[in-house]
Amino acid sequence: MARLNPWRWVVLSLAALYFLVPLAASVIFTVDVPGQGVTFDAYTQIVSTEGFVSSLLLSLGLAGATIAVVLLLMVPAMVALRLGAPRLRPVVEVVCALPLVVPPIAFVAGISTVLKWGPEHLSRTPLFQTFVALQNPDFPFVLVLAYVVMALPFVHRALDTGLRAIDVPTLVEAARSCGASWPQALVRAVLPNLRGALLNSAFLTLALVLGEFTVAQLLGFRPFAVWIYSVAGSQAQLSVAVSVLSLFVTWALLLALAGVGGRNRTAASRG
Amino acid sequence: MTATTPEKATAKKATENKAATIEFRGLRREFGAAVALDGLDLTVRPGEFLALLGPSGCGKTTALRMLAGFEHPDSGAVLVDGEDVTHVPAHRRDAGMVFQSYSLFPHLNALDNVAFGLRMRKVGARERRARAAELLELVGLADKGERYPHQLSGGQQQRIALARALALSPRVLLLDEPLSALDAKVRLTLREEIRRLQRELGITTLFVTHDQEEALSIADRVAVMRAGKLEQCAEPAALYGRPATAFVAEFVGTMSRIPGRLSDGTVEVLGQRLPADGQAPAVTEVDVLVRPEAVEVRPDEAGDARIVATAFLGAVVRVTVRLGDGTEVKADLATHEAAGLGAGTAVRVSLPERPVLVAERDKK
Ligand SMILES: Nc1ncnc2c1ncn2[C@@H]1O[C@H](COP(=O)(O)OP(=O)(O)O)[C@@H](O)[C@H]1O
Ligand SMILES: [Mg+2]
Repeated sequence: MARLNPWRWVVLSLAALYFLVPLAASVIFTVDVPGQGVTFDAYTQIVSTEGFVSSLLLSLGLAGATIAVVLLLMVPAMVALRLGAPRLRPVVEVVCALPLVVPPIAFVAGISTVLKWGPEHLSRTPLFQTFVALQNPDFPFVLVLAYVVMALPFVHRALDTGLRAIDVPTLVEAARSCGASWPQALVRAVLPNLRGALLNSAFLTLALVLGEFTVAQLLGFRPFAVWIYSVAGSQAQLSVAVSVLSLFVTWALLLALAGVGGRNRTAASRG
Repeated sequence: MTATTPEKATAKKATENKAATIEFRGLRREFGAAVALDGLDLTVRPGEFLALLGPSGCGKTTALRMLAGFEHPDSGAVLVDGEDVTHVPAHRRDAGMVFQSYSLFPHLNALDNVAFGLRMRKVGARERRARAAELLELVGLADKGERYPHQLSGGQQQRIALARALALSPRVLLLDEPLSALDAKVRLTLREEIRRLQRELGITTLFVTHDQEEALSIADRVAVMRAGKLEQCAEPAALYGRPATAFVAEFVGTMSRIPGRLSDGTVEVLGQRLPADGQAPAVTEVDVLVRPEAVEVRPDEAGDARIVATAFLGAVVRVTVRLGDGTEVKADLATHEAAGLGAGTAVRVSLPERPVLVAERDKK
């Protein structure tokens, strides 16, 4: 391990202060109630507050669905791009970066217009039911669609980095000459070497969905971030406690994901 | 997945190790404006080690990939044992391939890399491991089974790629410049090892290379390609000693051209009259093609030839001589003979009294 010279210590300490002081202040604010000493009431209260469990579960469900959809969409597309049409790569890169430049407000405005327009014009067709199902408040699939679009730039970056590190055409041909059919070659020879990239994509998407507020709020759904906002208005201490908790929940989930998928990651991402 | 029985049957057939005949018939392939193959005809005999030799870009890799099933001809056919396999997909071709670039699966260790094909064929785990271990032994890496590709040297990786290619006992073995990324010493030992293994297994092998020395030293026959076509296919000694065309003569080994005059089947060159070998061109102004080891050089004050350069090659010294008319000729001399021949020495050049190869004069 490299020795840390004094300057590094200074920078490291400043960075730690920058991150840790607000966090520590938040934690102290939530546990130190004036006149009562240290108490964890704020946290126990959260769990019993109406909507905590359901909104958290909704967010996790949305995150899971978004990860699944965006990976099923992007992995085959990007592998096919590497194998078949390398010249289209810059085009796809630009398209995937578009969600970064469209503000979420404009995006929501577009979505809600379509959601209003659709049922009016399609009321006599089976598509009407589709529109209704998309907005089912128990599991608003329309949010998944929106989040898939919003996650595209991050997933594209993560997968592109992973694909750059391996020679996809040669791996596929090596697998095919060993008797693997096309799907087998992709699943057995290419995907395992993208493990790190898949994990990174999942990380970024999970963090994005758990923290997303604008789209969900404006479309009138209530996943975790929206619920935090709604309880925050009523009780100051409770709302800070919820923020601290959501930070830890996100960390715990990311660590869990790393634990599940990352056992062999260093071995696979080198080579 | 469901069709395990026919797959098992082919695996079984292959283990009986009946060497296959390969035929390329009029293969043609264009990539946009570039013509990679321009009517390639070639037959590889059962159990033969054939080297496909040619300058870079002449279509060697494309030809090999057509046999592997990764590339499809615009016209023409690929036959294995007389059976047209042009439209058989790559994973049913029964051809093992070693690639130019390192192609081991980075997420699998050496043993699992070798066992990959057996796993695709649904061979049981125990049998698979046993067979893979056997193959690692065969390539001399029995103790490296647990290593991952990034923990192995380039030479070791190519050995394992070779073991992987042989794991399914394929009917043909395809090697696309497998040694080109390795350093000189490893290249020499590995090519001998490839040859030894091929002899042991008696498997029909196509070995692509642009290195003529490599091709001549290990192949049963060498097929020289030029611009997508076959130029000559012959045993190494025949290719070196009796090249069919001037291109082959100059691509294989070193060749010098000395101007001469042809008449009645004999050629007048360097003040000597020598019989012309083989089919002589129907012109009088010709070039005589000579190998450096066939050129004799003696110091001679009266000679109009001058030594312009010498290069020490170990047992021999290669001297470059400029003749009176400006032609440069290369000659290999034993080190003791070359002792007094520094640059600028006046010499006389002669050829042994043997038939010589003649070609139409280069219009330069
Ligand atoms: N996939 C391809 N796309 C475009 N051109 C190709 C492709 N493969 C080969 N070529 C062209 O075909 C010719 C022969 O290539 P190749 O078979 O790789 O030659 P070699 O292996 O003898 O060096 C070259 O001019 C090369 O540029
Ligand atoms: Mg090549």
